[in-house]
Amino acid sequence: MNADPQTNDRSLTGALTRNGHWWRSALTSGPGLAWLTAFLLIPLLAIVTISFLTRGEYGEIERPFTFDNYQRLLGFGLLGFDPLYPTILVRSLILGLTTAGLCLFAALPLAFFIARLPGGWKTAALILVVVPFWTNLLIRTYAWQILFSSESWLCRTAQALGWLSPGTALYPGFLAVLVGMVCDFLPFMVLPLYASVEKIDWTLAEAAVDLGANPWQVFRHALLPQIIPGLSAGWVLVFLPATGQFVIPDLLGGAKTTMLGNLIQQQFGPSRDWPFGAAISFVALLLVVGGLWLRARNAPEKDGGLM
Amino acid sequence: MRSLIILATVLLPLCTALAEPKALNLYIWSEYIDPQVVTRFEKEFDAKVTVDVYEDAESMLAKIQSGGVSLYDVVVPPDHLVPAMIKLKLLAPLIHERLTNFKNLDPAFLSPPYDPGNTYTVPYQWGTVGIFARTNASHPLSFSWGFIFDPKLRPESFVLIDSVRDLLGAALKYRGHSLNSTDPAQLKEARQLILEAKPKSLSFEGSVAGKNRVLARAARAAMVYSGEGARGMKEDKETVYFIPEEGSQIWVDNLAITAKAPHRELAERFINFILDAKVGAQISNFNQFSTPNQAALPYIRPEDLKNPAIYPPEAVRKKLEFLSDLGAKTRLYDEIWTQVKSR
Repeated sequence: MNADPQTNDRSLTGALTRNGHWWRSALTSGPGLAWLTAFLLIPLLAIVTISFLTRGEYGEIERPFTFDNYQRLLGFGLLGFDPLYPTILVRSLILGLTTAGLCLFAALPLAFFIARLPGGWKTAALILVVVPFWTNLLIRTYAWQILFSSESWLCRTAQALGWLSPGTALYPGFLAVLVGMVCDFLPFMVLPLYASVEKIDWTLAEAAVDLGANPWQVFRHALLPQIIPGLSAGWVLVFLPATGQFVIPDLLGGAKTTMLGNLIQQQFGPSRDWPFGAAISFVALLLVVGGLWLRARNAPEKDGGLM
Repeated sequence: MRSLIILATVLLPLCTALAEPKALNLYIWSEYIDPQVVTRFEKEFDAKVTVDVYEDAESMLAKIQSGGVSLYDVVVPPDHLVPAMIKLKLLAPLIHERLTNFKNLDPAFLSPPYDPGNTYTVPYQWGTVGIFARTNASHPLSFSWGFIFDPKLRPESFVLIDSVRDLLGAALKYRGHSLNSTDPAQLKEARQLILEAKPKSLSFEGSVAGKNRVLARAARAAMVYSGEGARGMKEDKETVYFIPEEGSQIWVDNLAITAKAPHRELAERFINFILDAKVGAQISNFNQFSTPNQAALPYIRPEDLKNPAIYPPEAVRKKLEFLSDLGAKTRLYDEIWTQVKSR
């Protein structure tokens, strides 16, 4: 480091002359920025614009500019008031929250278990967590359909034990949707949690025990603050896609329980109402981004205080 | 040297693309064309046919509208969507000189109201919408739409068809209204019927999936198209397809070429190939729908010609109604559909 500070200094200045700096930053961040502009910013602006336009007679996107789509989303449709769309929004948020909650519940002990395994076993365990991803989501979901149908060994066992009335199936139903969702999203919770749990400073836990903390207090005050980064990363990774998920509710719910994702998909698909679909997408985006922003605004002081 | 490698990587796929046989992209309902017919066409015309399938007509239109128009060559739209597709400039006028087999078609199916003069389409198959049900259960069959919509008549498990006009049309017919009603009061009545049936139903499915649910004994009854009904009856003798006594829908699916078809010439050759008498019969013998191809009738299996599920008798045909294009009023149906699916 201090072998020849002067040469080092000079080359550094050379690198940071205005031109060189520009050139370098354009080279390093340019592609990323171009990518974000072309594939995120412009499409987003297009969605916002379309959401204020009108659906033509045959599903074209036409002027005039209007707030109709947002009014319809609030429940004021062609056939009178109907609180349907706000209900779907709430239902999707509940599904997202439940999925994220269940994933957390399942992933927390798993992450601790994996982190405490001896060296080689850790890698094996992590691979096992990821292995289901080598199979396509649709195939895994269809597999659940078969497992949950009334003739499957799973349902027969449940029927024999009296947990299910004879001849009935778990598919299609809400429980089937939840199982499918948790199976699909669990790794997104386990991996970031594991990364945090691995780095835990266990001396803090020991100190807490020495100072007379009970197990819950040890977890709450000595361990939890250390895994908050992984926990919130996992929460975001699961909650956001789970709220917008439409394939699993469709396949395991028998296309009967509409979620936000189904509603949007239907507007861009069979209903051919892009403006309304764009309005729903935009409102959903605002809600989610708003939630994240609130969290980010409150997080620094909390994290700082706890650390 | 490096530029040579780049050149090679760019040119190689190009060359292979040029060397490939002619291609044709077909967008059609699932289980609707005999794979052997496709293979025969590929052999005779030295072409590669890519078949993509859909389960409901509105999804097909949505995909064609959002870019599919320059991706697919031949599509198979039902009668009531043809006017919309023409107005949206999604279809190309047919070059009739290339369709030498056009004369094979039954005059009764020519120049329909949705496409006068067959400018854009030729009929492919026709059929009806009805109920496919298992007969051997303790719960008696009733040959009415009430089998789906009446709480006292319907069985413990049934499948609703996942298609807006077919399902709403059935509910409208059950109440004695036209399939093409745009009266808000009648539509609300139909919506109510469906909303009451929905929680008791197993699921919403396309026609093919509905038939499979009944065959797999997951459901006692399903709303399906006649071809699925007839094929199901053949596979399992304890099932039946019937057209409810209140009347139902009759439809014609049509062959058409997209406005920006990438393989325009082959598309017409394909349509002409389908209109051939023997090919037409092979298709209907496979999918068990009814053929509008008069010259094909002698090659249709005699038992199929006598099957009322496929060729309904005159008394039943009188109760059948075509869907029509509703123009701006389509929005009413779309809104009801969103509500029905979302509740």
